[in-house]
Amino acid sequence: METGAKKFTYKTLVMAVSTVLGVAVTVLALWFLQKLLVPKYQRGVVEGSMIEEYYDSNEPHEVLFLGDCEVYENISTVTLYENYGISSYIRGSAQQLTWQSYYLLEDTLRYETPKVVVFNVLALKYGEPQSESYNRMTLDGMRWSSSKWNAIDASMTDGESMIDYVFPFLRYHSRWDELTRTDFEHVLDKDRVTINGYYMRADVMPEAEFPSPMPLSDYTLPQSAMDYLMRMYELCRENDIELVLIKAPTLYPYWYEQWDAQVRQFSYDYNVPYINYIYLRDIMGLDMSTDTYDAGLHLNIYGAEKFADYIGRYLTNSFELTDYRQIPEVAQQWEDDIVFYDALRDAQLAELQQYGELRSWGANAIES
Amino acid sequence: MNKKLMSIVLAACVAVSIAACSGEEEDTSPVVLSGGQAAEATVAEGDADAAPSDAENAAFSDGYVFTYNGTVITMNAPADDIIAALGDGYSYFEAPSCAYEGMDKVYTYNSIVVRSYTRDGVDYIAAVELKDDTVATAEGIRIGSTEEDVLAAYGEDGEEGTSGIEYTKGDSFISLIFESGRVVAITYTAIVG
Repeated sequence: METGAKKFTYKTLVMAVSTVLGVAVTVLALWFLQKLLVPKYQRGVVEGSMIEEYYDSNEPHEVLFLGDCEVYENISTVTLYENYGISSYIRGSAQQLTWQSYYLLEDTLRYETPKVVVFNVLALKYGEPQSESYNRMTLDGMRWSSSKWNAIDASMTDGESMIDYVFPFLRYHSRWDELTRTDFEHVLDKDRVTINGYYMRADVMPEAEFPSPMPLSDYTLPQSAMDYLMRMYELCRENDIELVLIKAPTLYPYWYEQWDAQVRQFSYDYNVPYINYIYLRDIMGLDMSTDTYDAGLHLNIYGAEKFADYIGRYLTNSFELTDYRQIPEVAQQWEDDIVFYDALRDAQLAELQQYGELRSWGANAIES
Repeated sequence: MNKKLMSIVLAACVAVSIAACSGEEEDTSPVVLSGGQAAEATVAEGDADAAPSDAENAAFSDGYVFTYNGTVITMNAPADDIIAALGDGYSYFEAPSCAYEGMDKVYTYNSIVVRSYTRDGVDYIAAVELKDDTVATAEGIRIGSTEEDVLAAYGEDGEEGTSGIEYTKGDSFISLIFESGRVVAITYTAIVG
């Protein structure tokens, strides 16, 4: 009887251990498969890596930029630091929608409270979710929180489901035959692709003539977007943060005068600064024959440094910002960022000299 | 009991894996990878033989169609054949979307502007804009028509905006913009689902 009980206990133990091990191995395998199969956004299209990079940045950020490519490609965070001592971060992503900007602000406030939030208004033209690809680039990189959940819930297009965001493996499981070398190289870690959210391009392609804007029958900015702008304003007020609205100086996609008037009205109604930098291109010294890399859609490093210098002067003069060049522990971290910035610029210039074009960045670097 | 439990857990894991891997040929690409820069060009010569038939166009859409120089342009229809059929003498502009997610293409002809969007590597008609009064909609409305003409042609059930009126049909809508009671712009737009 006693031997039987011992046998039973031994068998039970073996089975329990086997079960735990079996489950652990299965979970580990699925976890690894998920890490392997999800897009890495490390070459060519790197925009999907931007949102998560924020969590690795250890400096305090007194200025937070939110928005789409009109912030992450157009403003050099290093120039803001070098010229004014402003420690900033751009939480930008491709076609970032207004509600995504709001939830990214919520998310940021879990880690720090900036003094100034700068929001680029172009996304106000969108009142509905637009694209799963863009959603993924913004949302997958957010750490899990109620903000991420709500951002996904507000952003999903037809056919998307929350479970696919909770378990990305379900979305990308059949990507196995599209895997590239980069997928294997970056299964467990990723390279840095921005300098505090700034995406650098050092090539030059002069601004082209853009087609005439398409007339619209209704120029009213969507209420859903304006509601989230209002929520952003209220969240800033609750946290004693100054909200600043900007329109980047690039001309395409077209920013209608009627939209501009509505943002100006919001600015007036709520006493929020709004600066449309389209009107200030000459004053800030932008030369769109040399300061853009894609015919005027985005600024290159030369344009981004001019824009950063100009907006940095405004921020410094308007708000009580810390000169972090005078704070050694922060300055040291920025020095590391500057080393990375300079090395990235030099690498791009070397490639331009060698090939006449960039091959390791942008469209030419996209792996098939 | 433990055997059963272990079996259930492992079966569940395997089932999830199999279910996840047995999906049909759904698109899992994170982005449509079409590169390039904004560019402008003037293109000559077209291929009128490539014109899709009315029936072919109708297969793509139950919405508005617009006919220009004998070529039927249907919203959401594949653009390549239509552009080829429209022929020579257009100026061309293209700009990649952020993160190379598709390409905005704009073809400007004498009297119309055609815009296309990219999905899964294929261009589709996104919009047609009428530029002058030499062209008219199938309902007979052109730039210069009166607001009364529009209401008579399209009815009273349009959606009024701040500067005009929109009528939706199938997966497209037409926008008619007024100034001083007359049409100053007409645009067909695809509703991209």
